[in-house]
Amino acid sequence: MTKEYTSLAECLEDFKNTFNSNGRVQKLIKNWNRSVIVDATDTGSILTMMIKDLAMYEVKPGAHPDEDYPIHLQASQETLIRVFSGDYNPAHALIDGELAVFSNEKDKVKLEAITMVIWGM
Amino acid sequence: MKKFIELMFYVSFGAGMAFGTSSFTMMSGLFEITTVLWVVIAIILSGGICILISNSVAELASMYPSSPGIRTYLKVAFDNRISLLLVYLYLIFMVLVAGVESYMFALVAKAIFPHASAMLIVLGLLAFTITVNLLGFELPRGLQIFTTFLLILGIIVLGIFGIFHAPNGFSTFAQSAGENLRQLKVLPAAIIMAVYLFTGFEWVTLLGFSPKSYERRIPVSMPLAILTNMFAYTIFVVGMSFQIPRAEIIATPVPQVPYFVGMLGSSGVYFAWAFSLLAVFSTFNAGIMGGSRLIYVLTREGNLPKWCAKMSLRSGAPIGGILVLGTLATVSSVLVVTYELELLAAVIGSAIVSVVYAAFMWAVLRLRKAQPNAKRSFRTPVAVWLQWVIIVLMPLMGIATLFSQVGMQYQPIIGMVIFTVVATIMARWSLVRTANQQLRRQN
Repeated sequence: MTKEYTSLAECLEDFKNTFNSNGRVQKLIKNWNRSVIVDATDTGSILTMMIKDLAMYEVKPGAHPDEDYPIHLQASQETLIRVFSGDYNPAHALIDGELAVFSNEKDKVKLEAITMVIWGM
Repeated sequence: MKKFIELMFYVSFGAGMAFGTSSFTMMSGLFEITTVLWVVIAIILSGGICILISNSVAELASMYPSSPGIRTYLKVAFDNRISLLLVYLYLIFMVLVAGVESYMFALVAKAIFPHASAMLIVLGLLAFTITVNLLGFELPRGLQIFTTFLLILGIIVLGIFGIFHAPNGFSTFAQSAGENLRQLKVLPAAIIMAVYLFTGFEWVTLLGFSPKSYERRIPVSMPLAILTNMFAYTIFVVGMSFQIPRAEIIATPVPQVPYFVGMLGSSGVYFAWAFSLLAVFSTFNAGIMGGSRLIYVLTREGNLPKWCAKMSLRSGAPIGGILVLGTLATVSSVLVVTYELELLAAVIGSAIVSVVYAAFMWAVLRLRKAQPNAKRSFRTPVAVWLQWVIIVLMPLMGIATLFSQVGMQYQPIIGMVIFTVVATIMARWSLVRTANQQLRRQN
């Protein structure tokens, strides 16, 4: 049963804990220091997950790109919450046209791999 | 400046995906059914139709940015069965193109090394491309822009050179204009065959750097890529017809070789080979990568066995997809080389693409009805009635093309039927697989 979240921020904070407590994720994100912008198109809620030195150290309100073209996830708030709580396979969300992921191919693969490691999807 | 470079990357990617070594084979095929004036008309009309279609693709991409293109667009607009059928047909098209491309590369290489085995060259090229993709090497953006620019500029320069260094060129052109009415009836087939020359422009929709890219830069890049290729092809076919007789163009699937040799002497063959190498960079490699990602996407949905989605966590290469597509491309190449099926494969490929492109346009109209309030950062300016004309005409012309080939009798239509049956079986199998997976999850 998926936990009910009242906001995207609350969901991402929970995700941060799951992310940081998983040893296999830490192996995956070696030398992967990135900021991931999470953008809810229907509510206008925008947060950035800051990843550095093998951990997600902060979920910041607003967009904080670390380079010209950062990783940018876009969907409705409900879809984002379902994706970050493990209720909706992000690969399926992408194919269904519910989620947009703007990044280079290598970062897309990294995100896919993190999903597989955390939820076995 | 940054936006301009981004746009140039999209244009070069779209133009490069469409411009392969087999483009020259299709030019030879066009000359086989009609004369130079009508080849030019077919290329221009075909490019025009592709520009109209690209507007529909841009609207779909603006609704589903960064999605895996064809699978998502057709899945949201149509029944899953139809979507899968068309996606598998499109994959078959990619496998056919891989076979034709590799064989044409081998034929050009054989012009330099006449004693080399075409089969060995083909297998070597495939082994090289598959290895490069398995290792996850990608062409840097700057190099992508540069190689495509070099390829197209070279083709235009040599085309212009051919036009202005032909003593009897314009009289040949005038002669072909005398046969106009007789040639008019093969125009629909020539237009569909020429669609092959532009196919691939739509792959750029997967590459948008940011949400903003789908508002203007991606929609503008596709017509620009098509116009660039349209200009290059037109100049090239006119130059070629000025330099060598039509019979000589028809006699070979690599007409660029006798054209360049006739114009530049024995060193011309090296130009032909250099262009083939550039085309391998832009079309062949990117095609294998794009096709393998499509297989990966289908597998992640549960449509194909899990091993097809095996991926390298280090390089990000979709290993399973590359091996599946690489194997199919090898089988296709061996068959094309052994039985010299290059034009047959390219013609069937054109017919498949004409159906898929019509489906893209239809998808836009269906989604406008089904989801009128969905966000669209770009809307195709093409009138609805014109879209319907293209939706109806493209598949009909595609079928007509299968009957219009000189000396092929029923082979194209039989081939098309076989591939449609294969795609139908694959779609049915995938649906059963996903239904069973859902049942297992529920239990």
